[in-house]
Amino acid sequence: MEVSRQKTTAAHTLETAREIRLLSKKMYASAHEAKKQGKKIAWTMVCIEHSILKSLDIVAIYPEHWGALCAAKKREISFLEKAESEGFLGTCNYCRLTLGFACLWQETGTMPPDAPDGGLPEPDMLIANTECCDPRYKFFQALARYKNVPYYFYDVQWPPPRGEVKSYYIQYNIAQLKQFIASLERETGRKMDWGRLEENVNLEYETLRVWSDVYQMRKRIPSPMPSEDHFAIIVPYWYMTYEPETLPFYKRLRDEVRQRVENKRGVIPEEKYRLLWNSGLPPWHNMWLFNFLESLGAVSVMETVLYPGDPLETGKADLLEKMVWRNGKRWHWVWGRHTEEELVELIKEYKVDAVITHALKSCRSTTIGMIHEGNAVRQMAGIPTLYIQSDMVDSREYSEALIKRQIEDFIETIETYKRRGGK
Amino acid sequence: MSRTNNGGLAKADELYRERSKRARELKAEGKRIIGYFCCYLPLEILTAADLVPFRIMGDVGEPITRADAYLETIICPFIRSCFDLTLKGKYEFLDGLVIPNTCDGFEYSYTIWRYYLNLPFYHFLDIPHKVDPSSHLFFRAALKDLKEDLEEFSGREISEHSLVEAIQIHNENRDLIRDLYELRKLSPPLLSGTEMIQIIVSALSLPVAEANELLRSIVRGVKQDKVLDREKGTKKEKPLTHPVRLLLYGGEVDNIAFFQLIKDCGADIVMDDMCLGTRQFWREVEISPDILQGIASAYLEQTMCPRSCREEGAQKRFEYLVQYARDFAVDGAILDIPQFCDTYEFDVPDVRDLLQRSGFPVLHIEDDYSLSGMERLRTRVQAFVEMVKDKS
Repeated sequence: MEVSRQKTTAAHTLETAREIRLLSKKMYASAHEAKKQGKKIAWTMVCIEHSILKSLDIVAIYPEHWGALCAAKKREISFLEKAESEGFLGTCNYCRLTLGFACLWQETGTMPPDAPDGGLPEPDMLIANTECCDPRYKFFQALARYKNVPYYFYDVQWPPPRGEVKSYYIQYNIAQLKQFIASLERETGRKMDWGRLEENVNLEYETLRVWSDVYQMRKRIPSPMPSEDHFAIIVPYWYMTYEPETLPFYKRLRDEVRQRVENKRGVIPEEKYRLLWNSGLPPWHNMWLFNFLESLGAVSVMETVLYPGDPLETGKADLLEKMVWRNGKRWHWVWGRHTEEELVELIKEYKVDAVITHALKSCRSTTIGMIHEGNAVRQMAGIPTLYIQSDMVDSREYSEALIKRQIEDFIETIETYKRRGGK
Repeated sequence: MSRTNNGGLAKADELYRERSKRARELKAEGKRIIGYFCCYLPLEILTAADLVPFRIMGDVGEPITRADAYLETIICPFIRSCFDLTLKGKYEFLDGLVIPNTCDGFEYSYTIWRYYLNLPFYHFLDIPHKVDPSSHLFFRAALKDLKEDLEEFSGREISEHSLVEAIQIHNENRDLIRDLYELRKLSPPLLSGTEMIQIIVSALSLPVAEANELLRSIVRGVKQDKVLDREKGTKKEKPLTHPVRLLLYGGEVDNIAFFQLIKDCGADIVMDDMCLGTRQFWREVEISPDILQGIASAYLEQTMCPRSCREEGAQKRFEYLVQYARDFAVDGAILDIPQFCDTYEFDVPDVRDLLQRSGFPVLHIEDDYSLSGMERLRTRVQAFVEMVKDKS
């Protein structure tokens, strides 16, 4: 397959994956319209209990997703440079990008002209929790320099991998959620409709159940769905969870993947090498990387980032307790917090020949542990790991020539491992 | 300034240069040594268990040669340095390690420490990011877990009585350090920034009772020196020099090289908000009916670290820094921000702007926890000190 040197976006395999760009445009358009209609807008990030916001009619919009969009559109640099000039140096580039954007907006009094999809609508509040990473809660605190709106956040505590989830973790997380809900009730002047909240939580569960069916089918050979499609189809679940089109979207996705499995339709005509994309967020500015792998016969068949894990049946009657347990499992999966044994199990289940990790200059929470995991995978599963480095948002960190060369060499390594039967 | 009465300072200097010496002696005597990081671990609990807390530090003069095979380079350079030293066997005298969940660096490297360093005892201490009533209860529960783990490891019950005694002795430790800080309010300060960091590093390398003895002798000695100097001042004596007075805001700054560089440029660090400074010692633990809750609440409320996300706006959150600067009559401030530290990085513009609005010039530098950038830093510090002198 010929791959254009100039192309940076990925060519998707699935029809449903190709729908995502239109859906995300709609997401921003809807948010701007909601602002015009006087609805409350919250800037927030994934891993928040979106069901709470939805149930209080707060419209959530996500700087994280918008950062990825800016990177894909190659419009990230001016915002990053502005953030750097303000004194925000080596931290998360999703956050720095939004800080730079907000600063420019404040300085000029108008929406920066190169903001894709109309930019982000003016927030009425900023919402975060302490899950996943430090930038998540510190960033919104810093944003107060440019956005004079309330900031609501809640703490999430969960033990490390293999740690015991003792009752005080659950009690604390429930208490924090209750405080958070009370704050939003005061902010919105509404009382929480607990029945509606339960419906939204159940809708999310049902959506995840459908999504997880797809991920079981991805274990098949040839792979029906590659990673570049995963990184597209995550959008409705994470960012549009309760929109009417979301559950139908995942059902269409499931149908499409099932059909491909039944007809043994792979991503490429000859799938020589199956890869696991471990832990790192992808380079949103250069997603063609996956097509380049495919041009060499390698398909990334599964990922350990941004998939929330199979739905957890908690057996808990209390709604908030159910939410806390599910969130704990989700957190363990979505940010690649797998144990060495879980990684090896995934490698076996998805019949993976090699692992590829993307170390991110500005993201410690997904990057720390990659070298160790690579060591463990080599030792325990007998397969090689490729370690590439750039950033999820900042294209200045991406060296196309270097990464292509690394991948080409790695393919030879995989071939050698396969011939030797591992090790 | 003469130091004729200060065997304490000489001892601190000796301990600073060989800081594991006493820990190794105690280990040979049968004591168990528990390594730890950061300011959030209540040392009272370890002391009450008759364990010796030992603050882990890196080495800015030691190139990182082994850690890169296991840890990414975009992690906090202090954590990398510490891990590198442990891989090289510099901390082989430790019987255990308590790693606090203070930041992503520690949270996500914890399993790596456990995997590669075979120690008899490990504990991961979760710490709330919020400071509210439910956070206080959570931290109490987390400390109870720690206490029970330590009891099992040490084979010794940590009684309420032993906790009370430990609180008292650690409160005295913090009082003594604050006494030494008071001496830096004078102009010129009776203790230089270099001397202060040597004292703190050596104090954190000793069991608290021995540290208190050392600190008492230093306080006595410095005060006596002050009397002597005053007496000498009535005779022929060269004028006392008045360096530019600086506040240091930063993370783990534990090496005299940095403080010496400041001094060489005609300035001195007279006050700080950093991990091996006021953040560790500006705390008083009350003896409450629920002793463990008292400890938890004191550490949670009174540790001013950027990883605790307080709800107030920047002005209110950092007003204590402005107060420090005024109390110690500083001429300017250095923000020494750890490289790759998300919690500090987001606060930098607010801290900088608040200090500048309050009339204090600010120098913002990025700290890669190594000596390699010292000469570049010297140029910047020299320029900053000249600017501060011109301003005043």
